[in-house]
Amino acid sequence: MNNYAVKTQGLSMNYGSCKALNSFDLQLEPNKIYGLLGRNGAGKTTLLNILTGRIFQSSGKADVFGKRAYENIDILKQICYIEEQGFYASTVRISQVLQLASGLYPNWDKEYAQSLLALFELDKRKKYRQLSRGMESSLGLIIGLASRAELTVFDEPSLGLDAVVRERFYDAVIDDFAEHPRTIIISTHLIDEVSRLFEDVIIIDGGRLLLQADGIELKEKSYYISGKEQAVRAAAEGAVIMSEENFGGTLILAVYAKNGLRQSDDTDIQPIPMQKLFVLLINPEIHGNLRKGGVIQ
Amino acid sequence: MKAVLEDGKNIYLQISQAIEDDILAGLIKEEELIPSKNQIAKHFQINPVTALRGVSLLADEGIVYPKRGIGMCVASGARELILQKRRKGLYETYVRTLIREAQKLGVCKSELIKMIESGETHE
Repeated sequence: MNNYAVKTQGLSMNYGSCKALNSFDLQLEPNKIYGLLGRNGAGKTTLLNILTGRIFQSSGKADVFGKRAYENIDILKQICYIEEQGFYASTVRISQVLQLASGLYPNWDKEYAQSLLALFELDKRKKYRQLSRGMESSLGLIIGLASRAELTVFDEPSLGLDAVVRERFYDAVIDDFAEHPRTIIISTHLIDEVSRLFEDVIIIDGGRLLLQADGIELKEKSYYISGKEQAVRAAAEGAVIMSEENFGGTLILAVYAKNGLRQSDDTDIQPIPMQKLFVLLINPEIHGNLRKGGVIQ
Repeated sequence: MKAVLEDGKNIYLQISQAIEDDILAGLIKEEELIPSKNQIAKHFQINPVTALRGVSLLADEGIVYPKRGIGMCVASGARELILQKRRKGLYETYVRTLIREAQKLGVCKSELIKMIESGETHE
């Protein structure tokens, strides 16, 4: 079946002895917003570079819309990849960058690009080298959104952006996605801020896929339980314990409860924010338990 | 619709409750349209799928129903349905918590009842 937007199988990328990606299997459905999370050096950018045809893998398969993107113009046209750092010549003006982009992307919407320029308060006469880090990121957002590419990838889009622009970006993604559904991958470190946009969350660690899950379901199964030791232990029965803390006579457990929790009067149950959950899941000390509990791969 | 979602709480439950609150308050009347999933998504800055889940929950309970080509409509009798459901939940969500807190603070039963009665007269 070729109906995946992205499908990788045994995808590996070696840089000398460093395995940036290690037998990576991923399947992304079309017209969803995915969040790609991972620590620095986890392999996020390597994965994105391969998917978008910037580099070629050492082994394994990486297909976008059923075909390899590398040196395939029909597929590449459908992909818009906004990298952390743009590489435009420093004397080029914003208007020229947009002109160039309009020729690259078949779905480019010129009017929308103009309205985004106003939204992100960018002066199109400015030269690329005059842009601040935040403005450079804003330009990337404009191109990514106005390209309306079937696969749009934002690698760390919020770098250097102030809170106002970030909020406008999230609004714009939701707005435009509603009218023009497409597959969007957002790689970010601002997890709590962006996680509401995600339908699925992909966590990558040490070049491997740690977990791919529906963001809401993941959050719904993750809780802090606190209270007296015995009551907390009883409430946590059958759940995977991710962390344990004794604090002022109470026991606080972070758990992943596949089948929900038993409500009880003598414990406090609170959801775990996505960013905290990420930090927990990425902790190698509990990977054995998580794997046993079927939480991670 | 409320202004912002509360952090940490289940997003789609908050959405279905917010719509229910609007119906209870008479802000959306029976046989009127509720906001579309995209409007809700935009308002709360969430993925439209999450918004849809909140609305689907209401549809499952017969509080809203799809009107072909227009959107989701508040069913007639929806207000009564919500009232019944929420009354059932009143004990679970509020009374139990209230009793628990009172016990923690050493407030005895008669004091608690007095508080409720004086609260009612303030209303």
